[in-house]
Amino acid sequence: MTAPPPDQVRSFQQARTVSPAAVEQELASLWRQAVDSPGGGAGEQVTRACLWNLIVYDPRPERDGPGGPEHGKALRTLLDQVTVAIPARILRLEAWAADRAPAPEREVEAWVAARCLMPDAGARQLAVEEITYAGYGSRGLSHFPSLVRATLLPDLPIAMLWLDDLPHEGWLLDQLLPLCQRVLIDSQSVHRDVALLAVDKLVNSTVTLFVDLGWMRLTPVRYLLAGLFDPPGRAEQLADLRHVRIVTTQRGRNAGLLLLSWLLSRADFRAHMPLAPEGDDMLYRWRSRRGSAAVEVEFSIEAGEGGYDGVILAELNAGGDLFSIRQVDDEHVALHSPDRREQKLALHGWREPELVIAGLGSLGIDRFYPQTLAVAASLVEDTTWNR
Amino acid sequence: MDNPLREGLIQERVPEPLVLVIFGASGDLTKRKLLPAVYTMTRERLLPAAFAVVGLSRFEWDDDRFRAEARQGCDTFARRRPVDETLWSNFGRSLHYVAGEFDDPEAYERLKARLTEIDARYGIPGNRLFYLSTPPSTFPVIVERLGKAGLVSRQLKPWTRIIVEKPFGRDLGSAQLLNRQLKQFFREMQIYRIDHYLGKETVQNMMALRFSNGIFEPLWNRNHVESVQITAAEAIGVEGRINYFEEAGILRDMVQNHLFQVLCVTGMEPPVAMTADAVRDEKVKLLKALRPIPREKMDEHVVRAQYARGRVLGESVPGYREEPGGNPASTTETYVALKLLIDNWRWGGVPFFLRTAKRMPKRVTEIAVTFKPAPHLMFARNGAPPVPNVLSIRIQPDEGITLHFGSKVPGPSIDIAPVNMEFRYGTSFGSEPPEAYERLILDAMLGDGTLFIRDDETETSWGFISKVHEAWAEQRRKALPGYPAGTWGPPEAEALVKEAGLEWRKP
Repeated sequence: MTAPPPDQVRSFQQARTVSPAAVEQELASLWRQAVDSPGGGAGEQVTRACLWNLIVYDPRPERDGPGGPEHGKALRTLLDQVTVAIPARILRLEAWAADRAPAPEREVEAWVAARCLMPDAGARQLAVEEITYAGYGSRGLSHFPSLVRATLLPDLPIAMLWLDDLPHEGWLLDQLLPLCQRVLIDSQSVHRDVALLAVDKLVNSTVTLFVDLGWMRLTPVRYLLAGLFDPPGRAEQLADLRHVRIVTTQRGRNAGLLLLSWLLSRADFRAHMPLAPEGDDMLYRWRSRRGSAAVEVEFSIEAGEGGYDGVILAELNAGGDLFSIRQVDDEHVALHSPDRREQKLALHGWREPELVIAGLGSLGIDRFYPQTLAVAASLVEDTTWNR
Repeated sequence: MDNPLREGLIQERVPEPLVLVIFGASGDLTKRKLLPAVYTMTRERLLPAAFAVVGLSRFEWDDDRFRAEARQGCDTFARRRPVDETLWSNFGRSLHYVAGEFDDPEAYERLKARLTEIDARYGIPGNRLFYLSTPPSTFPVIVERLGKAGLVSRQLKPWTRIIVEKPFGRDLGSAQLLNRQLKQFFREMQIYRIDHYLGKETVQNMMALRFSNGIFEPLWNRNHVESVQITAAEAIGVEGRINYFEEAGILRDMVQNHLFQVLCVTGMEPPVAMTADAVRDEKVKLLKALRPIPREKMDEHVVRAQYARGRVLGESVPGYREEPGGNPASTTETYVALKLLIDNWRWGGVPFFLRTAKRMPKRVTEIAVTFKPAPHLMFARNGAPPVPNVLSIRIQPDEGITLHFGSKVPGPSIDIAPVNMEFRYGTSFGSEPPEAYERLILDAMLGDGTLFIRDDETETSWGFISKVHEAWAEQRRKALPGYPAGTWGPPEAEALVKEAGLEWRKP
């Protein structure tokens, strides 16, 4: 999976302010301009491609520089790369403070834009329609659900990219969630592990599919760990798991918890008893049980950035043998197992656009995420309760 | 026991530890396709940790030279470039080389010793995948030498499999003979006859289009389909393969394998499951339903021709007989068009037109299904013909599907204009499709033969094609039509479709 370079995307029409009630007419007008504009004349095709309605909830649009040329630049680059790979009608919901309204009575504004991929052959391909709604203050936000419902393309699935902290209960979420088939969140966007409890609650209370980009970020590490147990006889050793050690940075705290929870749930350890941590670095310690079998689990936090996913070390003692994956630098890990000398490998982590693209594709449907999240939530809940 | 950590990952199964042994390791296919495919699979973590490649050819190379050649091939042709240095340091070490002639028994003893050593070093339990990337004339001797050296096991564990590149025989008799030779040492389930067309995403998508959507299959029959055209056009000529091509001709080179495979996935009945035998059973049934062409009516059903000098994509090119090393009196066909009829309930009376050629205006492969017109044309003005509904599935380049239909032109009168509804792979799915060889080699490693050709498939298709060659052999003195390079073929081919009231598409 490769996200295309953003410089393949050209805007043939600058975004312009329109009345929210006139959004669809304005988009139709953009279509006509796309055909008529220089370079889009007779013989050249302008084709709309669309696979998803993608709602992007951005509660902090100011962070990229309010009103200036840098406004939304990072998000703009992300969406360009995502939508070139997966064409979508984008509905951007920007939550602004009330005092940023251009006029006191103005509660909501809209912009429409269309951008197209410039394929090598020179033929023009319109790939994206984008509608931005800016809501000013809480009254402005209250318009979002009705505006979204009015401008979704019919017969296409709906996904929401949630750029806020991990979602929990809230009026806006309650309104938007039932519209969506998928919600893309990032468990690494916050460094508090208790946030996983709220996500677990949400995941269990709705039929909407939650796609956790933080979980997907772990995919390369999961592949490598799984590979250690491919040689004949190694999978059996997972049944005799004796000790697990996870070390992460603060940023990788939730990722580490998810990785640990995945390992425990795949090895069928269901009951977890918190123990007192040993030493200054250790954050948590548990004893997990599967029937009469028990595994000791240590979870530590170290200072630093922690590279791609924030996980510095995952080490397993299974059947008396040591298996580990250790971060070497931002892009490489070292694998260790009884079957090979320590081996340095490139991690080939996914960049943000690739994560979102994967999340909107079949990789976003991961039947093991809910059960992993449930284990993570129970680990956190037990620990918090006993602290 | 299955690895529980594998569950839920995109590749839930990785092949068991194995050694891939490539015969013809110094050849073009190995450098351009096979090793880049294996590198990319390693890059995408689709292969087991315990994996090695052994190349064998007559060149006096050593491991280092083989690795250098492989690196050059991957640098130039791998789908994921640039090559990852860290990955290469491990991958390169897993490449090994044995020099030897294909008919030299001692070469196989050296190979055996090397494999034993590699098994011990990597912890590989003796699983072998042999890849014959060699001229077809060498297949029998390689198979025999492998068998006699004790390198072939009929057991399920450890397993031995063999991939055989096309051409699989040159007529029915030679295909049957080769099957018998292979089966002296391998069971049919161990033999993977490769046709890289079946590894192409769009060919597989034909099955997805037909069998995962409710709207197409009810129309996919004689009641609604008027005709089907399958085109595989190449702009290039013989590209230095004149000796091979002079022996083969395009009927052998393209129709017996690639085009018949495309014909099968277009016309076959829905298989009961996407399993190797279920799919191949249906393909064989379709091939068996092809109406034999009577020898005396061959010209009414098959047109062959040879390209003359002309201009392709703005460049002057020589005629086939003027190609370097070409025979000035050659009667080898570089163009062939066939009108086929399928005698079953689904397709009774529907003509299938197949066409393939060198030196056509451009490179394009497509399937075009033309539907019957509406029964009552109430919008026809001034006797204008109705817009035919055509569903075209483009296999290469620019893979995608287009539906051609009529639409009202905006305005006060009802004028109907043709419009296209397009789906393009490139814009709908951002992910890059794997190379055909990646998919097929991985399937063979996993023991999945769905996209490979079974013995009865190849014999049935050769049975049909050999009849055409026999008829042509009787027409040796008949002049071979020509067509200027860069055109869509000879006028004689127009007659083939004109009888059905059609024209060849210009895709």
